[in-house]
Amino acid sequence: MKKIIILTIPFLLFLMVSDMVKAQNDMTIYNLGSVPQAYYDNPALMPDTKFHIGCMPVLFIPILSSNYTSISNSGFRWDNLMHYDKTVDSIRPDSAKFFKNLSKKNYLAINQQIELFSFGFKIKHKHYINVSLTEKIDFRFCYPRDMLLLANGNSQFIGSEANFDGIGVDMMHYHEIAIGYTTEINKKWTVGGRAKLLFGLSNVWTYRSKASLAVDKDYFDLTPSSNMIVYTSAPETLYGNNGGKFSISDYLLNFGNPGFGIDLGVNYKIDDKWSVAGSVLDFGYIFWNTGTRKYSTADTSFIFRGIDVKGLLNGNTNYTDMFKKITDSLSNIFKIDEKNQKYTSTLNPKIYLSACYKIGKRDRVSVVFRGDIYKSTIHPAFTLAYNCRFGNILDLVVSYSYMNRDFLNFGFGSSVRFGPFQIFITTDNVLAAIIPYHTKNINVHFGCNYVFYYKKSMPLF
Amino acid sequence: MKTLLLNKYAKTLLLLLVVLSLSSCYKDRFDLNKLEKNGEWSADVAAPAVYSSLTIRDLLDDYDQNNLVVEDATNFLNLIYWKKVYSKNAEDLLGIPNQTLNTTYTFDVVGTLPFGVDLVAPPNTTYYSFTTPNNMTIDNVTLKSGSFDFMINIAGFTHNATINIVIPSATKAGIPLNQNIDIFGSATTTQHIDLSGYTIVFDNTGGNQNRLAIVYTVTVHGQGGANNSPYTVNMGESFTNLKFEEIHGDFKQLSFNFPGDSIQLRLFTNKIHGSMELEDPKIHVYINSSFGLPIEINITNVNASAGWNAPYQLPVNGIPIPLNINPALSVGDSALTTYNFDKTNSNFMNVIAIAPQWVTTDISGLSNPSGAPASNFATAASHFDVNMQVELPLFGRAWDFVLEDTTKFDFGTDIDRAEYLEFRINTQNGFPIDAITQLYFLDNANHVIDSILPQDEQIISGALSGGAPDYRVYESVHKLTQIVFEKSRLTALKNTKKVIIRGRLATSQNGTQIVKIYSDYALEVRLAVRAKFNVQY
Repeated sequence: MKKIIILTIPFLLFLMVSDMVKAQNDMTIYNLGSVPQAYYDNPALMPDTKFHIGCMPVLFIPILSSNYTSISNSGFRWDNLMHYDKTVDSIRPDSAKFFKNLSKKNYLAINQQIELFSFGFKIKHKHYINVSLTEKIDFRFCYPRDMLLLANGNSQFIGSEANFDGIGVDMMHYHEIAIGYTTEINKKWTVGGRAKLLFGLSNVWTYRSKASLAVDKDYFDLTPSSNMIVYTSAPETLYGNNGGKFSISDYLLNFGNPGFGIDLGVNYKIDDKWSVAGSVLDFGYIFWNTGTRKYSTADTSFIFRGIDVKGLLNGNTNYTDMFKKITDSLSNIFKIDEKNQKYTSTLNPKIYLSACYKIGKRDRVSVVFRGDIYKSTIHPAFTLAYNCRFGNILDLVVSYSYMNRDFLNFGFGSSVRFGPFQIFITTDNVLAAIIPYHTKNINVHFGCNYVFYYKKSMPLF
Repeated sequence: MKTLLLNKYAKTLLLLLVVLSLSSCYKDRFDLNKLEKNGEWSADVAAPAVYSSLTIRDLLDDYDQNNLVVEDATNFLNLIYWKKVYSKNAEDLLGIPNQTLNTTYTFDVVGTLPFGVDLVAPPNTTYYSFTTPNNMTIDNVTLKSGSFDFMINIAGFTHNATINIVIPSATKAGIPLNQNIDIFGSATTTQHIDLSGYTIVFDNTGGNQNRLAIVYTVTVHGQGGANNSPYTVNMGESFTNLKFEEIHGDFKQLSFNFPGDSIQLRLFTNKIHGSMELEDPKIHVYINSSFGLPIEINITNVNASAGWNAPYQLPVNGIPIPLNINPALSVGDSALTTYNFDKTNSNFMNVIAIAPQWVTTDISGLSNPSGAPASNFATAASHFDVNMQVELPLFGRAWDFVLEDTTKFDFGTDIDRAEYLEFRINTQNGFPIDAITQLYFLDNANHVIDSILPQDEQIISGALSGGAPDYRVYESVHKLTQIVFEKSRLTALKNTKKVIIRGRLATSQNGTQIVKIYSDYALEVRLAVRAKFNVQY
């Protein structure tokens, strides 16, 4: 097991940096019921399979059954930032378009989930049990619009303030061992849940982030203020301790930061055509105990009214000394306090709500709402999907989504079965491959499973 | 059915290939090497530049050891310009030069000189009169340091000898100086006798002056050779490096002069014209003497020089000539003699009205001016100083008082990157003084390119003050001045090489009202700058 984990890390890192790195919201797979991993978005949506084992196609062993990677940038697309002028074949910054598209708070998010192992099976058609071991990495960088607007100067904030609230980084890397159980209570109601045991490996948590820069309307006085608390948990090596030696096995086998999480779901069949479902995911905590630090600044501000020229007039000081005095004052006022402190961080919960309408036995349409709860704010995404099954081997879904304040997300997903061997791939935005400069969301979810049904063929809707 | 599906897959594959080829076409959009050359980014920045609350001390920049801003119990301010225009210490005036005696005499010893036998020659007394500066007569002197040096040689001498040296009138703790020097044959013997702490009393009786008696007695130690008496001894003696601790005598008439020393009145250094009436300016002369020596000094040619205002030079009159300086009454004391000149006994008020940058004076003097025999004294620490102080109480009125300063200045070549430049000057003036300030930008040929303010823009308005006798300000006045330079003006400023700063000051009501300046008055200046400029990438 240790070997498997160690072997996984370079692959994981490769995915983090390679062009394969895509996706964030994973909306399309929700509608691809032939793939057992769709179950993770709502544990009440019982998979079609009687039994499955997640596996790799080459090794034929039950590891790495599912890889999900996403990059999303809610603030701007590349062509918001850089305008391409065909006539002279050059690019140039387009500040007007860039700033117009920014929201008050913008997020660059990278998400990586690698399922190392999973299996699931049904008992008497009505009960389903699922077990999985997953490696999860979440990274978010929040950049307030006002911070970027400062590139245009601070005059736009005369008489007001540039607000940098929320600025910061959140990152969490953890192992997740989950066991799920789903049961069909009756013909209409199905409920399910997953209990997760978590082991945190590293974390950056911007617990409090308040910062601003006010510009006085009469005197242009500058008033920076801040109130920041950032928690971190990482190997001591990264703090410059332990002689700078980083041990990847120590890192991956660190079970000193335990946590738990829970997913709950419910599915209600209104009639033969309509059904609605809902789920809440990732309610839980991780208790960070190892390599922890708390970095904080006092809730403070500083008014810069200009340089006092008294010293210059009487020759008691010079510009160098004067600026040093100012920077020393700033350093003291905004001094970062560091202490070792254990802490508890929450997971980022998600809510899924969906409605499904069966058009025929082979096709259906559905709408899905996903709410990503982050920093006490719901970040919504909506998807309209059409799902069609061809023969007993091919399951296709096409989708249209609104996510990350972007309407241009056309998704596609497919699973193909060759005997018991299934491969699948989904993305919420195929346009990312065609017009990458005009997209905010890039994601892909692919994997493979051994799947077995009660009958020989894939069931119809 | 299978064929149909395969066709579908083939089409899907084809579609994917098209998509991938399309995406490769868009690499250009991400190629940062294709970033537009010489592109520009505009930024509009506002920031506070200066925030100072300036008191008169800060504004005048006039306080150091020679220039003082002094306040009284009511916080009223005086400017004091001070200078030591003459200073002499005791060593300068009364230093005793080295004295060379070089005594030679012949002695005779009677008898044979076998080994171990001593024969004593008759004593020889040498009288020596010290030469002194200005032929002064020294009654007695106590030496801080000094040396009585010998280079003794007895030609043809084949024995050893001891020379006893006694100065009966040179005593230390009441004991006369008595030293022996051993001589070995005809070799030259060098010896130094330390005179520190000795008091020497000179004989000034019977027509003698500064005379000292020294008694030499030679004892010859027989070495078995022949007695070849008489022998001639050359003492080769001298008094060197004599520094006195205390000296008494008649120092006679020492004359001294020190022409042309000046006091700078920095208040007026940068003034180019205008008028100022100070109500009660004064010159104080402080003469301090710790010599027991009456001195008479002449302060002559006291002239005020103004670089800008006619008549440019004005003599200060009313100073009596000569001034008699009190001597110290006893050793260790000092006596201060003070003379004050103001509007009641001189024309100094009118002198200040021309705003002089300098007050120049010549000093000369004579000790024991009566010429009669005197009994004077001095110590090593005695000194004689003449200090002049110009006191300008900041109480009066000024009008059309123009100050100007020129400084090198260069905006640099990047000034034309600016679209505009805005200065916002906020002043909160607690002084009862109006100011019209102007900055002129000059090129290499000293042609004015531009000026910063509209003509006669008053950027500092005088505070409101009450009446006599205090003339206290009861309300400060705020003024906001905004100056905007558009691109066309900024481009012209590229050639700026100098800046002339000119300020025209007037006390309240255009200089008609008398004001007093107190230490708690302040001018709050807040300068903020806003600029829009283009950054090239």
